Amino acid sequence: MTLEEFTRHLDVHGADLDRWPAELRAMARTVAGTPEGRSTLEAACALGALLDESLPAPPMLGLKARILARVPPTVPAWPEWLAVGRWRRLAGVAVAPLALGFVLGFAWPTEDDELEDAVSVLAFSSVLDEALVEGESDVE
Amino acid sequence: MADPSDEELLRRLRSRDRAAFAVLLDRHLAGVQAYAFRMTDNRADAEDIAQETFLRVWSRAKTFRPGRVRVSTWLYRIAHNLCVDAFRRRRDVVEDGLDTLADERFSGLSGSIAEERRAAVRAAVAELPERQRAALVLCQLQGWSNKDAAVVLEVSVDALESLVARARRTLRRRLETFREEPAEAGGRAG
Repeated sequence: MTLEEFTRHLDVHGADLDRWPAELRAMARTVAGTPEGRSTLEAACALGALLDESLPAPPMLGLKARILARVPPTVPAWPEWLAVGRWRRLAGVAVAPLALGFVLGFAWPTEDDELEDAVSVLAFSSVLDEALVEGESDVE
Repeated sequence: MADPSDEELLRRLRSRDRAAFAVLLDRHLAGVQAYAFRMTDNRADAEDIAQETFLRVWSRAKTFRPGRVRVSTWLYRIAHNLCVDAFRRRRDVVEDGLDTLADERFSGLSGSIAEERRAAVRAAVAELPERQRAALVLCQLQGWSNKDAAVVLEVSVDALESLVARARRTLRRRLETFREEPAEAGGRAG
């Protein structure tokens, strides 16, 4: 690795040689052992130190509490099998055929309507007869 | 019992689990806030961005697709997009913001040379194009690998390395005078 390549890699990977790609480290340390290489590395270290010193992490000052105050309290978790989405789907599956049957049942009158009326008359005819008989006897 | 993974915490967030949310905040809030602060150079903006990032995580946990990106990457991507929005909103007043914040940030320093040096570094970083700045902040200050930073910024690794190299070259050129008096933090050569 030439000094020029070493300088270029310093710009890409920074001054911490331990963070360089493994295949470059040994060659980098060889160059860093030369006077020119050491000087170049020291300049890169100084730049890194300047940045670290000038842009420290700020204190948080209650930020976590303020964020937590913005989210709603935890609601009891439903078991997976009670999940709302699942029941909604099941309800849809169950209700759809019922609704369809209801609509179809009212939309098409059966051909047996007259027969049903006749059956009803016959079924209640004895009751009517008895009522009439009882009514006549009361008159008497 | 092992600590739950970020992915497990996200899964619990889908059922509105505040305890899981608190753990996620403990893990990532400081880093996200630091990233936002280093990007915008404004403490109030950084807090707003960090807060909005996590509120979006809370409300959009169901949209996270495990396996595509890591939770931390997703978080920083949200934060980065919010930073870009904030940066564009206040682009015209960045310099005023720097002046205002300088007093606040450097209050712990005693020497005017140190103050001047920090102000110059911050100004130099603030003047970097936003993608170069983001690449530099992620790789140099947040300790992300080039590969992970590329995922956050949604660029290829080659593009990320180009961005961070250009940022370092620009800063080295602009801060030439200060490197002769390096900060007390010392080097990091391995």
